[in-house]
Amino acid sequence: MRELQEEAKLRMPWQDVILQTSVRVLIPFIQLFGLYVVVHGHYSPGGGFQGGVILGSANILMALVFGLPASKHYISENVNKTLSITGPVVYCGIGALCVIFGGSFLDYGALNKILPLGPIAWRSFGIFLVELGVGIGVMSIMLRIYRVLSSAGTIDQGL
Amino acid sequence: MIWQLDLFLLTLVVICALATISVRGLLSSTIIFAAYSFLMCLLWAEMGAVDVAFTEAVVGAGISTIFFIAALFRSTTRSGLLIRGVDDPHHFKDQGWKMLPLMLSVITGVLLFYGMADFPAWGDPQSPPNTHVSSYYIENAVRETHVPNLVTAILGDYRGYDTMFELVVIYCAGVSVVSILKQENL
Repeated sequence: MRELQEEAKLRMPWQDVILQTSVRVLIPFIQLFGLYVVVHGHYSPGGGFQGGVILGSANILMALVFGLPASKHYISENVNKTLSITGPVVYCGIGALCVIFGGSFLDYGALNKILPLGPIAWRSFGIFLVELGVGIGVMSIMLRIYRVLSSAGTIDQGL
Repeated sequence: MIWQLDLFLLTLVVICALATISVRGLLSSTIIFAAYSFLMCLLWAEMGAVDVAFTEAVVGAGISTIFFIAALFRSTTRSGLLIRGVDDPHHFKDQGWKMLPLMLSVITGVLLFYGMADFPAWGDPQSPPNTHVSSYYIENAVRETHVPNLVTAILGDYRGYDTMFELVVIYCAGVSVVSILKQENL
């Protein structure tokens, strides 16, 4: 991240040093909080959707302060494109997996045949898996919308 | 529910809503709209809907503000960038009260208030939504799914289709934004 700031200093000399440094320090904590919200949705408010938005906005903050190329350095456009379809595919795929193992669609208890943890534990774990899918999908879709909007469709230079 | 706090927050919500539509610059309007979302989030949290409050804070006050600002920075008028403010004095010529939309929204609001009179009291345990499926979820969700947060259990398990298509809708939104603004092969 420090190299990122040095690089951004050359590319965007008008940007404030205090802003850049504080954002550099802040971004890992925002990402950690986003991950916490995704995986702790079982016990506290939150879940895939909110956590995904927080994870996406960490990268958006990076794009706002260090420029769009810096954000693309961490999550390239191709990776982001793949991630954005991964979310729905994970969700629907787990639903389909339940059908393959003899349950109804999205009936996570049927996944007990993969690993016998008990149907109730699998229902809990299945919710976690689909929340993970939601988190990944929402993160990359928000990021993608921001990139396209802020660069007027070219995705090379941000605001 | 503390009614004094409710009244205070609701007054601020109404003030923010009026300021959003009456302020001149679109950037200020966007910022006030974020404040409006955040006050709504406080109201949700105060009513006990913590998950909704979280979503409102993250999406309404957070990311949609960023999207609005990004769109504003890339929007132009005839006299230049929209974000710089409109210098053209004729631009705001037609900004008086527009009677037809005003009347339409007032009538809609009155009808909504009229419909609200039939609502059950807030938190009434005998109201139909609270006696139909809610009691089943409250009694059985933790035992059946081992998820202490009932909202997550309902969204992820009992109403799994709902959440799945929500995600698909978000994906479609992303794809449509990309395909509208697309410059080259993205």
